[in-house]
Amino acid sequence: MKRLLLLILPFLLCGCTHDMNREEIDEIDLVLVLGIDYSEGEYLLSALYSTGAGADSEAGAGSGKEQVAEGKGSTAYEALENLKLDNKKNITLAQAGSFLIGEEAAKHGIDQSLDFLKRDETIKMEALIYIIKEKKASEFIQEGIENKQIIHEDLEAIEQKQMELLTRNDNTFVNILNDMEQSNSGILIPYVIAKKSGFLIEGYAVFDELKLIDYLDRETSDGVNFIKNTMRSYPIYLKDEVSLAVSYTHTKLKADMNKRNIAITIKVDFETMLKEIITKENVYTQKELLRLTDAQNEYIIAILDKPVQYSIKNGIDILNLARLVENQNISQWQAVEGEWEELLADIKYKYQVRSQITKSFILGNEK
Amino acid sequence: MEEKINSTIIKELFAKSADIVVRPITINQNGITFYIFGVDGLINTGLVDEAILQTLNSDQYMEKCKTQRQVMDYLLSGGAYHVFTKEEVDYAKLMKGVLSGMVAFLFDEEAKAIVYDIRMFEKRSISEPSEEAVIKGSKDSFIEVMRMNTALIRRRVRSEHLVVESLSVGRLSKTDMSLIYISNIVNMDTVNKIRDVIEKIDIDNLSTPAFIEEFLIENKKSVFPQIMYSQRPDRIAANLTDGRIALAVDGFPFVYLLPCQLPMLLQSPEDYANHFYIGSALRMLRYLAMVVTLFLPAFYIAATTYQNQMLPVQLALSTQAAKQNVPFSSATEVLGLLLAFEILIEAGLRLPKTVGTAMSILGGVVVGQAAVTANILSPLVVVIVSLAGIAGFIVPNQDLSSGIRVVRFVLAVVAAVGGFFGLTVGLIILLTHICSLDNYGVAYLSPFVDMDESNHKDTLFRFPVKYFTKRPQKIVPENRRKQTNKE
Repeated sequence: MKRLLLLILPFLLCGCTHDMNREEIDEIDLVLVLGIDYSEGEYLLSALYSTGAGADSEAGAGSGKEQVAEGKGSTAYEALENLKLDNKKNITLAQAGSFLIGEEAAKHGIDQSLDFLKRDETIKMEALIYIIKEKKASEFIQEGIENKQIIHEDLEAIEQKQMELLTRNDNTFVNILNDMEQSNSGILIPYVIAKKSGFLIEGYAVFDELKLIDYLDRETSDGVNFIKNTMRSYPIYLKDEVSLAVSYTHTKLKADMNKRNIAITIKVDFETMLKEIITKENVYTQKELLRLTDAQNEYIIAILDKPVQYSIKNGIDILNLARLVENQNISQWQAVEGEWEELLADIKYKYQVRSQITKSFILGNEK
Repeated sequence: MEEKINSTIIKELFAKSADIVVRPITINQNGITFYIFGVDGLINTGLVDEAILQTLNSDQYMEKCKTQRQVMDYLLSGGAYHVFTKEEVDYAKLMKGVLSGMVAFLFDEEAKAIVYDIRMFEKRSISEPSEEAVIKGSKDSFIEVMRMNTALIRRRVRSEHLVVESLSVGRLSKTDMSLIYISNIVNMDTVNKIRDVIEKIDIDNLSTPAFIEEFLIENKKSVFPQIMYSQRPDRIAANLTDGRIALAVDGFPFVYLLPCQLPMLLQSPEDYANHFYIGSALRMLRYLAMVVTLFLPAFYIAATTYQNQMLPVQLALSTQAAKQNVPFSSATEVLGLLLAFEILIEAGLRLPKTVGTAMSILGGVVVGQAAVTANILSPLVVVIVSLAGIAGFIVPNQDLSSGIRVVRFVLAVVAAVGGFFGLTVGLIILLTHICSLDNYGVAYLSPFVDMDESNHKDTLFRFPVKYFTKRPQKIVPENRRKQTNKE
C-alpha cells in the first residue's frame, strides 16, 4: 500500500505546476513570430501563427496560411493577455522562433519589451531577436502577408544565411538578456529590412542604456563581426586587380592597462582564396602574391577601424571592450570602472593583421 | 498399496493402463520366470526382443542358472549386454526409471529388478533455431529431449570440468532437469543456491516454462526477465565458459541461463559473428531501438498534449495540421493504437501462417489506412506507433520484448497524465526499479554498474575478441582470466 501511494504521489504533484495545463496541440495557436511595438504610451503585440493546413489539405501538412492576432495594452504583458483574450483559440509562445521589435519600441527600451518574455518558461532560449528598421513590427508582418511571404520561413532563411557568414548568432534571446546585464557596454542587435525578394539583415542596431540610438552600416557591422571573432567568410574586393574570399579568420584581443592608459591590440589572422582575377598581370608570382597579401591586410584593417572609430566618436562601447579590459586587468579595473565612458575615447588601438593567400581552384588553362 | 518390487503389485497398480507392459518371460533352458516391465511407446521393443530376450533363450549358460539371483548375476555380468544396465532395489527409483522410458526385468523372489536404459520415443530432429536464427553461425538448436540438449552442450564444451547434475521436479510429472556448469570456473555458492531452489519446488506438474521460471527468479513482481533462455547450444556453451549456470529441463526446447543481466538480453550471437565495428553498431542499434520503443509513444503524447516546445517548429506545425480533424486526444489515439497493435500481434500468433500474413495486411495496412482517411487517427500517430512496434521487435529476447511492451503502455499513460513531468517521474521509477533488481547476487544492470573496466568490453560496444581477457567479476569472483593472447 505504501509503495502504491509513493507511486501515485508524484502524479498528484503534476497538478501543482502551471505547466501541467493540458492543451492538445491542435487546440492552440502556435505563435511563430511575435512583433512588439510601442506607440503613444501603448504596446502593440502582433502574434503571427499558422492556421494549419489540415491532414487532407492539398498544400500538405505544415504549410497553412499565416494569420496575425493583435493585442494592445499599457505594458507588453497586458498587450499579450489582451491578445490571448481576443483570439479564438488559446495561444502559446513556445514555438516562437523570432521576436521582432519595432523601431519605436526599441527606442522606448528593449528591457520593457522583453521583460515579460524572460519570465515565460516556455520561451525558446535560442529564439532570435531582430529590430525592424524605421518601421513598426506589425507593419512589417502585415506587409509580408500582403506580399504572400511565409514570414517565419523567410526569417529562418535569413538566420541560415547569417550562419553562412558568421560562426554564431549573437542575437539569441538568452544572449541579448546576458548583454543587457552589462552596464558599461552597448548592445548590438541585427536589424531587418524588407525587400521585394525577402528579408535582409543589413547590420546592427546600436543600443545605449537599453534604448535604440543608431544603426551601423554594413561595413561597420562586418568590422564588429571580425573583432568579435564571429566571421566565417567574407569577400575582399581589391579593385581592378583581384577578388578574394576569406576562408578562415581568427581574432584575438589583448587589453594592456597602465593606470588610465588603455591599449587594445586587435590581432587578426586570416586566410583567403583567390576568387576572381581582373588584372592582366600574372598574380601567381611570389612578389605579386606578397603585394596582394599586403593589400588585403590593409583592406581588413580599414574594416576593423570602422567600428573602432564609431566607438571613439560616439563614446559607446559597441565592441564590449569593458568586459575584456576587466577580465584581463582585474586589479586595475576597479579604480576606473566608474569612468569607463570617459576612458573609451582615449583608448589606443593597434592592429596586427597577418594573412596568406592559400589556394585557388582553376578550371581550364592556367594564366 | 504396498511399495515393493513385485510383478503382482505392479500389475495391479497399472491394471487400468493399457500402455504399461508387465509380461512374464520364461527362460527355456531352466524354466525360470521373470517379468518384463515397461511403457509401450517409450521403449525400443525391437532391441528388447532381439538383443535381450532372443539372446537369453538361446544362451547355453542359462542352463547353469538355477535361481533368480543367479540369472540376475549372469545378466548383470554381460549375459544381456547393454551400456546402461543396473540393478534396482528401490521401488520409487524403479517406477521413475520405467515411467521415463527404461525397461525393467522384475525378479519377484529377489524383490529386485534389472533396469536397461533403452528409451526410444518420437522426437523432433535438430533444426534451425526459430527465435535466434543467424546468418553466420551454427544452425542447430535444442529440442524437447533433455539428454539430447546436454549432449549438444557437451559437444561444444569438451572439458572434464563440465558437470551435468541430474535433478527431478514435479510430484506427478517427475520432470528431469540438468544443472550444468563448469566446476572449476563457476561460483559454487550460486550453484548451491539454485539447486536448493529447485529441490524446494513442490508442484504436481512442471508443464510450462513459467512454472519453473517463477520459482527461480528472485523479484517475481518485475516484468523484466531475470532468467534468460536460449535455443542455441553455442550461446549456452559461451555463457558456461563465462561462469554462468545452465538449466536444461526435459520437454523444453531451450536451456535456461543464470544469473541473468539486462545486457545479456540485448546481445545476439550475430554480434560475435561479424566484425567488431559491425557487431558494436548492431548492438547500439538495439539499445537505441529499446529507447525508441519505450519512449516514443510517451514522448509524442507529452509533446502534443503538454509541452509542444519539445517539437521542432516544422514538426509541431505538421503535427498540428495532421490532428486538425481527428476527434480524439493524442493520448487516446496512441493508447488505442498501441492496444490495436497488441491485438494484431496476439491474433497473428494464434492463426496459421498463411492466414496470419493476410490478417497483418488487413489489420496493418487496410484498417490503418482507412482509420487515417476516416480521420479517426492522425497519420503521425500511425507512424509513431508503427515505429515503436518495429523497434520493439529488434530486441532479441522475447521476454524482454514483452516486458518492454508493458512498460511502454505504462509510460504512455504517465505521459498522458503528467506530460514530460510524468514521463520523467516514470523514467526515475523505472530506473530505480531496474537498479534495485538483483539476480543471485549479481546486479541486473551489471556490468554497466561494475567498477572493473574489464567488464565493460562487451556491453554497449563489442570490443575485439583479444580484449575479452577476463570473465565477469560479479559472476566469477575467482579464476577470471579466460585468455592471455593480448597483442
